[in-house]
Amino acid sequence: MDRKILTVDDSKMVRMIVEKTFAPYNCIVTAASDGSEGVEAALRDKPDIIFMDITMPVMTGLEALAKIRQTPEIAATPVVMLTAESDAQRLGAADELKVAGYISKPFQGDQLVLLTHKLIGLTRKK
Amino acid sequence: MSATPPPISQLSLWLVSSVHNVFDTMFQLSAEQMPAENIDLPAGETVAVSIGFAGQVNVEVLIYAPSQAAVQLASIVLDMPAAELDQPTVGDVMGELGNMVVGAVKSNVSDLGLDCTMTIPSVSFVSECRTPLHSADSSTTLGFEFHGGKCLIELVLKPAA
Repeated sequence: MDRKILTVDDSKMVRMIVEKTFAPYNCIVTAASDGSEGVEAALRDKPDIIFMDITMPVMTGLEALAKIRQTPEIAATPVVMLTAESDAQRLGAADELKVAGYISKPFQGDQLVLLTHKLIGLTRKK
Repeated sequence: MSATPPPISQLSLWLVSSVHNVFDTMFQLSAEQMPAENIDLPAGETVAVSIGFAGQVNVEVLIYAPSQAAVQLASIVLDMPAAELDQPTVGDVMGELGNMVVGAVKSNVSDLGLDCTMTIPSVSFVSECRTPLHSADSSTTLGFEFHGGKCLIELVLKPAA
């Protein structure tokens, strides 16, 4: 069964890298460019996992994560923070919102695949 | 009592380390630091990125790279032919490069106990690189060479608000 992955990042580059990274796997990647769009996309698509940036316009990743945790239909979705800010203060704030993991930017695609496989399982396309 | 803000010399060391890490990880390129005065950016269109963080320490970082070098970086990281890249995509790559470079510096500052918030990168395409205008004791300009490309990075430490 295809896994559903949502990437929420204001950078087109990051969204494209996430999409290309998962192209060899049985999954569908959707994208949103800020936290507000990310919450809407999560409600609409019910992803199995979300990769979330922190610093974004309109609604930050931490605000979006809080919103997701308050929304029963998507509250249990694993959210991985994919962020250039890896200081204890930011990560602590995400921890309080039950984040499933962190990947610091700069990153390599393998890191996304490994963590996704660990959290929700992934299979390669034949 | 809050921690003492780091001097510009320490911020500069963090910035250099971060540039090396970003180029190595995202572009699989080695970025060699050069004296800024030895970096002569070619005439023509230049991509200028402004990004920083504000709070108990206020920093602005300005990145200048010739458009050709920026296209080269975008082509590598997106695994796309240069001819297929439009200006907004190249600008986005350079903005995210700035975000990653400065994010690591900001994280180091925050880990000292100093509260700061990152700004959203601002990217523009200018006809030529302007000469850095800031005074020597509040700013420093670093030069980098990578796979035939060059860039200048100006680090400006601003007074606390």
